[in-house]
Amino acid sequence: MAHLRKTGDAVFSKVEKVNSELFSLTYGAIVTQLLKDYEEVDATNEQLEKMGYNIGIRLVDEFLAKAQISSCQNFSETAEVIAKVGFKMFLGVTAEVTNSNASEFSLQLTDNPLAEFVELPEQYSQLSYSNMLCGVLRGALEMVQMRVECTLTKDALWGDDVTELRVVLKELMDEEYKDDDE
Amino acid sequence: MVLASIAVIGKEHNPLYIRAFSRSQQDQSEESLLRFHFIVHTALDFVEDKIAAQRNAAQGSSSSSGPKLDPYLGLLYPIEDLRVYGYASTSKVKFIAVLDDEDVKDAQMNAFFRRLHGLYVDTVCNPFHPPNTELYDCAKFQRQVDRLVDAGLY
Amino acid sequence: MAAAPHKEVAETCFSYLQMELVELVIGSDVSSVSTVELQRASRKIEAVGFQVGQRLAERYTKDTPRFAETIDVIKFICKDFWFEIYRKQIDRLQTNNRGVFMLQDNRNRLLARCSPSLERRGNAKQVAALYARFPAGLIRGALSCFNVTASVSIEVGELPSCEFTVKVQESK
Repeated sequence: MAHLRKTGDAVFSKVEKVNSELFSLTYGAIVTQLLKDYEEVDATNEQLEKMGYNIGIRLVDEFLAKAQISSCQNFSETAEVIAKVGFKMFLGVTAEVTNSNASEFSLQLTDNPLAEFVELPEQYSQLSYSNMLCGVLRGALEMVQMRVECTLTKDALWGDDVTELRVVLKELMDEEYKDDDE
Repeated sequence: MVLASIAVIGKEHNPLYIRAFSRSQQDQSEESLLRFHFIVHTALDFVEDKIAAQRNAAQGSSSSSGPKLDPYLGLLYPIEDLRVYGYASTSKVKFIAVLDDEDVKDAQMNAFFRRLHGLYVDTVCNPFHPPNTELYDCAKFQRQVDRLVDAGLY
Repeated sequence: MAAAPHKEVAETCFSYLQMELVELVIGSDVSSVSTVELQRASRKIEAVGFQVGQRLAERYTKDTPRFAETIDVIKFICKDFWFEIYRKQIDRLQTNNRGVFMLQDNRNRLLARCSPSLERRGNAKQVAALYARFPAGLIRGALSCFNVTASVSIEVGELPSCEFTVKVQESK
C-alpha cells in the first residue's frame, strides 16, 4: 500500500491548508453549541453524524477529482484508499485499517485532528465527539454506491488508545460496481 | 530551583489555580496554603507596579517599533526565606511562582513560565473549558503541572 | 521546549464546517425564514466564532509582548491574527480615534469560496452576511481575550469583500 501513502502525501501537498488548531477549535465550538441547543448527548451525536453526511456527499467529488483513484476492486481496498489517501488529503493524517474483510473494516486514528486539546467532562462521557467522521464516511461512500453503517467504536477521549471507526457494508447500490475495474 | 508554590491568576485578578508544593506533609496544611494565597495576593500589586514601570520605560524610549512589553516580569519581591517571581501574558493572565532557594537565573525562570503558560493555553483550548474559570478540574493540566514541577522540565 | 510540529488540515474541511454551521442554524432555504429567525441564527454563528476567536487569540499571542493600547490589539487582529486564519491581512483599517474601527477585507476566503453558489441563489448578500458572522465572532472573541468589550457589525460589499465595524465599549 506504499503507493497509496505516496498518493495521499502528494495530494495533501497540493491542497490549500489551514492550521489544524483553527479547524479543531471550530469543530469543538460547534459541538458545544449543539450540546447547548439539544441539551442531550444522543441528539448531539445524531446531529454530528448528519452534518458529517452532508459534508461527505459534497466532499467526495473533490476527492475523486484530486486523488485520481481508479475504482476499488473490493471493500478492503476501499478501506485502504480511505485510510491512506482520504484521511491524509483532508485531515493531514493517515489511519490504520484493521479487522478488514469483504464487508467490514475498522479505521484507527492515533492522532485525531478533530479532538486536539479536548477533554470530555463527566456529564458528556457518552458523547461521540468525533461522530462527524462517521457521517462523512457514510455520505462519501453512498456517493460511490456503497451503503454503509459507520460507528465510533473507540475514542481516545473515552480512554482508549486510539480513535476507531467501524464501517460495515450494507448494500452495493450499483451492480456495475464489481466490473468497474480499469 | 525549588518551587514552593505556583499560581495562575485570571484577567480580573480572579485566582484560577493555586498549588503549594512541599516535601514535608505538615506543610500541606490549610494554614500553609492560606499563607501562599496571601503571598500571591500581595504579588499582584507588584505585578501591577512592574507592568506600569515597563509601560513608562517603553514610552520614554519612543522606539519606532512601538513599546515591547515583555511578559516576563522577573523577581517581584522577597518575603522571609522565599522569592516571588511573576509573568503576565498578553491576554492579561498572570503567573506567579514562589521559590525556596536563592540562586535562580532569569532565563531559567522565564523558560519555566513559558512552559506553564503553554500548558495553560492548551487547557483553555479545550472547548469544554470555559475561559477564565478555575483549573482544578482539568486533569491534564494538573498532570502536566506535576510533571513540570517534579521533573524540572524547563 | 521543543516546538510542536506545525499541523495542518485541508482548508476545504474548515469551509465545510462553516457551511454546515450555517445550514444547521438556518436550514437550507434562507429565503423562507423570518427576520427574527435570521437574527437568532446570526447570533448563534457569531457565538461559535467568538468561542474560537477567544481561544485562538490566547494561542497566537503566547510568546508575544503585551499590547500597550487598544489600537495595538486591533492591529494584531488585522495582521497576525487574520493572517493565521485567512492567509492574508485585513486590507484596510480606519478609525475615528474614538473607539470605532473599520476593518475591510477585500477578499474573504470563505466568501470567495462560497460566492459562485451564493450568486446563483439570488439572496447572495443575505447569506453572505450570515457567513460573515463567523469572522465577526472571531474578532469579538479575540478582543475579549484582551479584556476589550466590543460589538461588531457587518457590511457585505461586492462579493467576496466585506467590512467589519468594531465599536469598542470599554477597555480595561
